[in-house]
Amino acid sequence: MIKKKVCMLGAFAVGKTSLVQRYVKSIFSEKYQTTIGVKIDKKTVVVNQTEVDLLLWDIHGEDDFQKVKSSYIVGSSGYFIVIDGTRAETFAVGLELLKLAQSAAPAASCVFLFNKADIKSEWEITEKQSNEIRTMGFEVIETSAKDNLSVNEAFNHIAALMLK
Amino acid sequence: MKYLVDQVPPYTGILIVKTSAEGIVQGWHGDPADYLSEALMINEDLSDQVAALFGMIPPLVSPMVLSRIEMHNECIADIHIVEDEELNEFWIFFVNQTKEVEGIRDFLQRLNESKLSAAKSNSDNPFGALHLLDLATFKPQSDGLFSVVGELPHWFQTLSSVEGQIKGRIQLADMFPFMEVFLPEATAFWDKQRNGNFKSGVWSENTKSGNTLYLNAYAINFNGVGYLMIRPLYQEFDGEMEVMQRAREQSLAFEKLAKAERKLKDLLDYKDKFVSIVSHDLRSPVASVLSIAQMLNADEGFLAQISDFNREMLNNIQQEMLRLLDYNDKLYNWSNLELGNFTLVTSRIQLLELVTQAERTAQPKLKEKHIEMQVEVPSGFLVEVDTTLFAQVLNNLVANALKFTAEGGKLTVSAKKGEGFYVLSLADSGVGMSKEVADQLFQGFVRQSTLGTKGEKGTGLGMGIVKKILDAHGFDIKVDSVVGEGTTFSIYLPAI
Repeated sequence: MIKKKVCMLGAFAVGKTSLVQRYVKSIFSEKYQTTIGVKIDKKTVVVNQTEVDLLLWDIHGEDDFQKVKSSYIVGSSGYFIVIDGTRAETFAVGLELLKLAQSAAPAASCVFLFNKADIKSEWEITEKQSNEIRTMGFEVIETSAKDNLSVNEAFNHIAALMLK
Repeated sequence: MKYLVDQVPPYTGILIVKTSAEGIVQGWHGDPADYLSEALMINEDLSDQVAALFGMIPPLVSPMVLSRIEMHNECIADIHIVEDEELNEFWIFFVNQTKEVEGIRDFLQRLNESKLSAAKSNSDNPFGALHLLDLATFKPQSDGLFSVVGELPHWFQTLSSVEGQIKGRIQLADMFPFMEVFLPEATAFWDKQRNGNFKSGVWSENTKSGNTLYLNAYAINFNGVGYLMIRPLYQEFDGEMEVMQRAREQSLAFEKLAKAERKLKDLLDYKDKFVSIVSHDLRSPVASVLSIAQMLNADEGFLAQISDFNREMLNNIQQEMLRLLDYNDKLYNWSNLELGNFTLVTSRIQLLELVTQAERTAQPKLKEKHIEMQVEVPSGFLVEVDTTLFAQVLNNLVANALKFTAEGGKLTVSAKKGEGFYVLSLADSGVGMSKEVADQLFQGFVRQSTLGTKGEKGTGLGMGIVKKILDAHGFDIKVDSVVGEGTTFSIYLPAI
């Protein structure tokens, strides 16, 4: 059985846990419950007829109270940088975490998730910022853990990238 | 003694041997084969057959008992040594205790085994019963696996990643994927071989009942041996989690407020830009209509041809256009002040000169309302101001005073010198205002402008503009007013 470690990275309250819970357990809660430390969930997927165990490392958000340790990212085959579309400040945090992740796991695949696409009318993240990420060579997927938009696609996509 | 020897039947299993004071066999009663491996002989040293008796005859005290001595054929006996002092005889009684010992042998076996196992585990588990403190303790092996030290605490078995009993050596990273990141750090710590501990971050695991358990791991170095301990975080962590939860909720709330503030600021900026653009664009058409009205009003020939009513209408058009132009100009000035679209260009000027200019500008209104304006500003009061903007301040204040002063009233403009500053005061004998009105005077624009003593309409912007300009200069303004008596405005300017 192939095992692949995938890290969820992003500022606090961007929806990392919600995305994992939606993907692994098909559940969503409106209530914000902050993540302390690390929670590791597992999901087995089939990619190109290959069974893969995805070990999803749901790491606490980066903020003044907790800083993400690069050792958590070491050994990852892939990681998501999750941005909250409604909060402009999460974009800069995402870019900082990208630097950390590139240093800790240089060969890992990276996909940007612009989350909370269900309330796009409230977005502060602009098309220009999306293009900036694409220009850097990363895929950008607009997701909504709440409305289950493109969540499976995001995880399936990173699984496919990791198996390339 | 004679009774025991003569009367106790030999089938009781007791062997009685008589010896000399040196332990030499003089006779016996009973079957020596029950206890001894060889036949007993007269004049034989009994201790040759029973090593436990060596040096024991004569006994130090009488009787003396040697308990649970292993004899021949797995026989266990108590040996009683008795001295008959009267006859100077020594009697050795062998009493079989084998059955009694068998009864407690199992218990003794288990007791000794547990003592032995405790002694053995002490060398592997120097910490004792740490499982009672909820610590799961492991010892790293050379092949990268871990052996369990002592017992595992109850919570360990409740984890959904733990199946069945933990036996032998285990791959901790399989059970706790988090170990993948901690073990390299732990190994580096163990390699240092210094007594101490190294703590991991927090991670969570699911329990079989669907709950979440938060865990910490510690790499321990103890007397040159490395250990790994894992413990759950209970009450103390609940408190920490609650603090973190509330702190992050507050951060989110603060972000929302900052976002709302940004939006509001954008809206305000948009409003000011809009007003500035519109008032700028309106100026030309308004000025054009005013020019036409003024031209027609000055044309005697045209006036003679129209009715009195139409002349009055024409005059009204001119007045209203004048007022509209004034309003538009003030609106434009105010919006640009709000946007900060100006830069102070200051120069030094006599305060008296500024006041004299304002008096000239106010002349038409002064004459119309027969108001006396008295100027009591000494010459030599030098100030540094943006003369254009400061002139606007004085014009607005004078116009305001005249608006609210009845015909025949008085306006006094005076200046006094303080410690490094001048106070310029404009005191009118007008209608005055209440404290509530005075408190709101410089708030920006006033939605409902009050009519003057002659029905003069205002823009509601004048005082807001005054405040903005003075704030830009860094000057203070105060207002004192008594209803029915008048109002005094005082401006504080630094003396040059």
